[in-house]
This record gives sequence, C-alpha cells and structure tokens, in this order.
Amino acid sequence: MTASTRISAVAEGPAPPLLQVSGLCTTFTTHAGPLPVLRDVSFTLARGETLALVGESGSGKSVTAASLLRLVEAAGGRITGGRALFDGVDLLALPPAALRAIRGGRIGMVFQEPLSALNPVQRIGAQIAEAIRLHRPLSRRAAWARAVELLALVQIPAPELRARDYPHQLSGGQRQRAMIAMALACEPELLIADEPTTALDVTTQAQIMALLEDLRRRLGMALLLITHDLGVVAGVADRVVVLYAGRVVEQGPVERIFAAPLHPYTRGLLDAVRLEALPPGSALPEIPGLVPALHDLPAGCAFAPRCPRADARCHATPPPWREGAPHQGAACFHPLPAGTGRHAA
Amino acid sequence: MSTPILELRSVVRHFDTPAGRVRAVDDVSLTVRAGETLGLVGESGCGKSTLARLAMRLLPPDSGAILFEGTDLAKAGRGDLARYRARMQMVFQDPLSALNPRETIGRILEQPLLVHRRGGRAERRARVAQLLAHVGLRGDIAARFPHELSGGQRQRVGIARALALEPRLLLCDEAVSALDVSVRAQVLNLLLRLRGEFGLAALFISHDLAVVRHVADRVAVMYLGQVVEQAPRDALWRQPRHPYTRALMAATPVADPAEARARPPLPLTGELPSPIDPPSGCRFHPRCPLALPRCREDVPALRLAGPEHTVACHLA
Repeated sequence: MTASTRISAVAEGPAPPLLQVSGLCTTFTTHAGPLPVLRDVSFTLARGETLALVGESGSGKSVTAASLLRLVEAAGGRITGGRALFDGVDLLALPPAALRAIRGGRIGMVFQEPLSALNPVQRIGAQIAEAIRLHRPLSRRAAWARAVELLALVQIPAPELRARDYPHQLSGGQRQRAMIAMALACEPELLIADEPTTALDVTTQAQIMALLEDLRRRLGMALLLITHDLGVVAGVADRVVVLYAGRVVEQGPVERIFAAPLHPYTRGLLDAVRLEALPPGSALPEIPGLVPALHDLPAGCAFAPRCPRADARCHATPPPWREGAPHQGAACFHPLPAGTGRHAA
Repeated sequence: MSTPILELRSVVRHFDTPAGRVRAVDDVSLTVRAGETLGLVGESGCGKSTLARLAMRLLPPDSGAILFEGTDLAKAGRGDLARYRARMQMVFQDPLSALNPRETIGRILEQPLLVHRRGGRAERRARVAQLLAHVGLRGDIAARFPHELSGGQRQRVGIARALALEPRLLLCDEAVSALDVSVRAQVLNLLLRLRGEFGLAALFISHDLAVVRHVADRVAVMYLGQVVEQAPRDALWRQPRHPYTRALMAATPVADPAEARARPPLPLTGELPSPIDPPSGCRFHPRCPLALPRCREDVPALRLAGPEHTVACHLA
C-alpha cells in the first residue's frame, strides 16, 4: 500500500522511482518478417517495492526484462523505442561499458533455469567470487570469503563446503539459491527475477519465494518479478502489471488487481486459477480462443477476439490507457465496473 | 462401491544407476475404480511417472501385481498386453515430444486404429474426423503437422489419440502442467466433459494440488517412492493427516493476497532427499516438523484413519 502511494507521487513528488520504463518497444527479426514483441510498455518501480510482471507465454514479460538489460540484442531483438530510466540514467542509451557496470552490480538477475545460467565447470564459490571481483576491488581470498558469506545468506547449509561444489552437485533448489547469492553479490538496488521458481517443486518454490521476500526486506532491494503464476504474485507483489500480446493491459496495487480487476483479461486469468471457488468437477470459466500470433495482430485491442465485452470499436481501434480507480488503470474501452470488488468508485 | 478397473498391489520398481539404487516405486498399492478419477500428487522424484509407466506395463515391475480388469499385466503375454493397452491410454505432459513431428495430425490419429486393425480406410477416416470433433478441433487440422499447432491444440490432439481406441482408463501424466492458465482451463474442461460422456476412469497424476482437488474423486499422496496418504478428496482437504500432505497444501500458492500473506511459514525444513538411499524409518522424517526419535527407526505402516482414508505416519 505504501508502494502504491509512492508511485502516485511520481509526477511531481520528491522521491523519483528507481526504475521508470516508458514506451518500450522491442522487435524481433524473423524470416516471417519483423515481430513486434513489445509495444509501448510503460511502468515504474519504486525503491524497495516488488512489482510483478504477469502474463502467459508470448505476452512479452521475459522480453521486457531482457530489454531493460539489453540482453535482447544478442537474441536477435532490437529495441526500437522508449526509455528505461534507472535512478535517472537511461539504460537503453548507456554505452556498453557503463551498462556492464550496472548489470550484475546495481541490478542483479535471477533466471528460471540456474543450471543453464551457471558455468558447469567452475566451482560455485569461484563463480560468485568472480562476479564480485567484476564490480569490486577485492582480492581473490576476500572475494571467496564474501562468496561463502553470500551462500550462508541464502541459507545453504555448510556454505564453506558447498562453495567448492560444481553446479551439478547441488539440488535444483540449492542451485537457485546459489544463483540468488550471485545476483546479490554487489548488493543490488534492483533484483530482476525471471520465473525464479517455475522449474522447482511446490515446497521448494515456497521456500525460495520466502527467501527472496526476506532478503528483499532486509537488503531494501526493489524486486521486478516476472512470472506466469498468479499465486506467487498474490504472495509477494506490491503492484502488478498484466501483459497481453506485448502490451500492458492493466496495472495496479495487488489487492485491487485481485479483488477488482478492470480488464476482462485480468478477470479471465483470475477466474481460470481460482479452482477452489468452484464445485469440484464443475466446468472452469474459460477464456475462449487463443493468444493472437504476433505477426498477425488484430487492428484494435489484441484481446478483443476473445473478450466477452468487445464491440465494433474494440476490433477497430487500440484502446487508450485509462485510470479506472486510484493508482489502477487498464487499456480497455469497456473496463469492468470498479464496484466488482470491495472498493466501489 | 464399483469394481476396480486398475489395481496395483505391492508394486516395487528399482533402478540401478552408477550412483546407486533408485527406489523409484517401493511397495505401492492403489486402486482406480470404474468411472472414478484417482489423483496422484507428489513432487519430482516421488515416483509418480514411473508408477504411470508401470500401470501401462511400459515398464515391468520388480515385484507386485498390476491388475487391469482383474488380469495381472505383470504376468500377461504380448498379445494380452496389446489388448489391454488399447483399453488404457496415456496423455502426456508435453504433446510436442509425444507426437511424431513428420506425420500429419490425421496420420497420428489413424495410427492406433491401424495398429489395432480397427476398420477399413473409410471408417478410419470417419473416426479421425469424429475424434477431432470430440476434442473441439476443426476437421482441417487433420492435414496439419504438430509444429503448426498451438500448445493447447497439440494437447487436444494428444487426448484425441488417447480416445481413438475407446479406452476405459486414461492415465494423465501432468497433462495440463505445461499449458498457460487460459488454455489449461480449456483442456481441463475437455477432460472433464469427455470423462462424463464416455464414463472414463482416470489416474490423474499432477504436482498441482489445486488441479487435482478439482478433478479427482480420491487422492493419493506420494513421497519418495511410497504412498504416504490416500483419501477421498473432501476428507483429505478437510483433515489432511500426514505432515507431508499438510506441507504440500501449505506450499500451494493461492491467488488471494490477503490469504497468501496471512499464511504461517511452511511447516517443512530442508529439501527433497535423493530417492537413492532414502532416509531410514519414515522417509519424511528429516524434513518433518513433528518427527520423534522413533520416526528415524521404524517404518510407519499404512493404517486406516477414517472411511477409505489411510495414512503412513506414527503421529497422524
């Protein structure tokens, strides 16, 4: 709640956001032609806040993170517009050396599959020490000691011993903890976590999310959490940004998004996961149809072909962004009444 | 009570690996009754996928009996197996790797009919069209290849193929786990509808408790190769007895911020041990918040805790 008041003050308030993304557009070149994967993505993230980017496959949530860090370029993507101000500096316009200093320094990253993000032939401790020495003038010995401290911080038992292990010697949960330790090496102000628990079992997922939340509080980090799992979002996010086909369709405080969503897509996603609200064995509420192909997007709202509220205008014109409730907005001509939840407007 | 369609009795299957013996399925007994859905939940390495392959007799058990409609598949010859396999079909997690990429959807759906010599060419064609209609796909999909379809469409094809021979039992192994939520709802609805229409029994294997709660009549919880608790759905959620079942329920995310934040910390320590050299006594004891010294030594037997409710815990 404090987080949402903070963002409303962005326009003229004294505390500028830690991250301010505006009009981000990213295109991938494919043999079928250019694919507009992100179209005009905008959001802000305050210091110490947790923002969840949610969406289904192809919504652009991972590409958003990869664009902020300019990792899309290596994957064949091109950022074609927008700004991403991190503490006032545009990440999208930084020279490569300055960007490298921030990446892994003031901004840490955690990915879905630690096994492919870790070097398989280097000891865990050495990898973390190397990450530290990229950004801090420490001796090898001091960096190793710090690596062991970090492994202890992420609650890996016997950290001195585990530091000597290779990634394959750790369990999936421990590898993800080691990834987090590495991301925290330089005490980042922002941690970007892309599906950090998707490859893990539910009990391990709960443990890792509790760890991330505890570390975020203790270290005062902001967290940009990218996930498809609305249950995970409900557990940790302050605010939520919902993406559909490369656009932000709704954003707002977590309580509002879950209790009184404005966009019919958000509502549909919530209904599809709230199985406990239904009699066992009964038909689930469905979002009919399929996510549109990015090379064949409809002229109007990308969700219109699946939307129960769509009319002719929705099919013809992309809906503009509208505030439907305090701190909550959606790109929709026919938002759900704000009174669907507890806070009638 | 209706008759069992599938019954596993004290089934054991171990694998020898360079790292040691994996006790993937260790003395498991389960029953699926005609027309009923049994949910099987557990985390990676608990043996649930091995169990599905044993039930289909894609793997022979080391010991124990696998009775399908009363016949022991563990002892059945090849001819009998082929006949029974037509009556129990599997739906896999990843339809892309389960469908031959070089065959059209029409060929893929015709394959089981050819193998089991069902009908002439025209009849098979008609059956393929009927199967596509059953799973809500348009007839022109038959001419397409798997890579041309979306994930949800591919899973529908996987289900259509499983239905081709009019099975009595579906084994669904994480059948909706790889799907996006909006598509997952569509595929679950399809499974629920077909189950009703054809009176199918199902063994529904999933790591997702919320999904299992929605589709299963009864639920078995597996941990490191063993069933630790088994109960009718409502009884299990009303009163979960095993500490592991409770931990799984507590770890399952809930899409409600107030409820999610009001939850106590997970009543579970440590990580899933390796199924190689599982812990002594109760296999859950190293992670159990309630473990007593005796849990380290004595293996708890499954005992009755209520009507049709069994649990293997010294303290439950």
